[in-house]
Amino acid sequence: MSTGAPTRPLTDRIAPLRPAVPVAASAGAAIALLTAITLARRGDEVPIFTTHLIVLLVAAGPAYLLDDRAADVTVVAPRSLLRRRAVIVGKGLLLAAAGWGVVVLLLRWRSPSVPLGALTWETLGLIWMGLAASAVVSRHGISEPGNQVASTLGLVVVGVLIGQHLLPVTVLVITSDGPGRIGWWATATCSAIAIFVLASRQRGHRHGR
Amino acid sequence: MTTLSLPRPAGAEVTPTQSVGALALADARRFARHPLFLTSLAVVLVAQGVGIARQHVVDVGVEATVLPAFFIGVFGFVVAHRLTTSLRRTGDLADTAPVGAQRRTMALCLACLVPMALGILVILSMGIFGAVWPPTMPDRQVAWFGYESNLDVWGVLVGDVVLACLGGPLLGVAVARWAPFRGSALLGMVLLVTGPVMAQAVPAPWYAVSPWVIFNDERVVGGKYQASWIRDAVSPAWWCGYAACLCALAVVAALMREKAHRRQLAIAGGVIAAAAVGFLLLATA
Repeated sequence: MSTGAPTRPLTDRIAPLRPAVPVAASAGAAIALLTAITLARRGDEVPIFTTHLIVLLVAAGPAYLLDDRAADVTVVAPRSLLRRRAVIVGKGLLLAAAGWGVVVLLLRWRSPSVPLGALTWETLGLIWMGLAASAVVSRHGISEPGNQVASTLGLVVVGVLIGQHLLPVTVLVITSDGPGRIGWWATATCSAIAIFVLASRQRGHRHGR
Repeated sequence: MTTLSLPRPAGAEVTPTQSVGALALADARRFARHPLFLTSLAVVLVAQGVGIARQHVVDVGVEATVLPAFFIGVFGFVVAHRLTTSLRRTGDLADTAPVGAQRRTMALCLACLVPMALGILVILSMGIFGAVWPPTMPDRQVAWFGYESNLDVWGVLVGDVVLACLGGPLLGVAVARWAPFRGSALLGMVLLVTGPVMAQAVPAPWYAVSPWVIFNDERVVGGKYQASWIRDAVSPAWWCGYAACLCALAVVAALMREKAHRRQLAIAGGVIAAAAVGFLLLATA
């Protein structure tokens, strides 16, 4: 007869980390892609177009953080929706920040002309836009909005990159005007955080699936 | 006596072709009504409208293929992926349907003819408006009809628009069948865009291996186009054969997810792959 404390199964132990898996996977994919491109280009700088795709991969992962397969059960939890989400998002953002840190190191090594400060703001802005969109979509009864939001975010970013000449303003960071774009992205980040908070505020007001 | 015991009327049996056709029609309607497809349609229409207003729909020649290729082909990739994975999301219902997964996949592949039809309309409108307002450049050389051979220009339009509009969604079906995990649509989309971009750095003619190729080159001074031309390294007409084979391979890959007919599909895949290599060699010869 065993006298020690019962050991928790492995699935239970890794369960708290599950929401962050897509964040780690997308950041990992971004690092792997950037490494492959950097090595393939043999000393040349990574083009700004490709850099935006790397930014997109890092930024789209956190959109999956609000996926909640058991939403019908968790909605009755005593902790408010915003508090629960704050914990999940906090852990996910730490992971995304670590991934972005590696991307910055790689870019600084081989692509010194890339405006890293502005790109960091762009990444932050896109992350919060994805989170805000996920919060709004899940408020409309979709318990796993990650796939929808991440795909749409990707299409919007690449669409803006390709159709930039059709737009009256420059949206994404370009090599020459990095600092000028920081204000725009800081405003976008603050607006997205406000939308996220508003969409996560009411506890127990989920609509039926 | 219940109706269940009544004998079936002669000739009422549904053939596999009929069931796939009916499913394909339903999937085509779902594709055409999907918000992302409608968005891509709106963007393409706006872009054409802006071009008409400025009286130059194809002002830089075949380079105008980038926009429809992305907005129909890559958006189509995500739409097809979502339609295919929706079978998993409604697995309880889908599993009770009297049609196997392979036929449903075939129907989804046939539904990808919807974005291809839009691609055909786009190149026809480009041809018409290009004839009404012929593109001009300071150096009197544009990658368009009248400056390049008609076969090459049609090759670029068909390969870079029509086949891109078909191939993107077909790849979406294949990716969704084999890798239906969360994030596979995003990852697939990024790789689909990154591949052709990175291929441009590959020396000629090996960049033609990419599933989408920029055939033209241009001279730009002070941000303004001076001339554009179709590069000689790759024959666009032969490359279309290669791209068509890639589309067929995507269908075979999607169908091979199920165990049925795997042997026949593997043989067909081998033949198509060999044809693709042949077309690629002809295109780069």
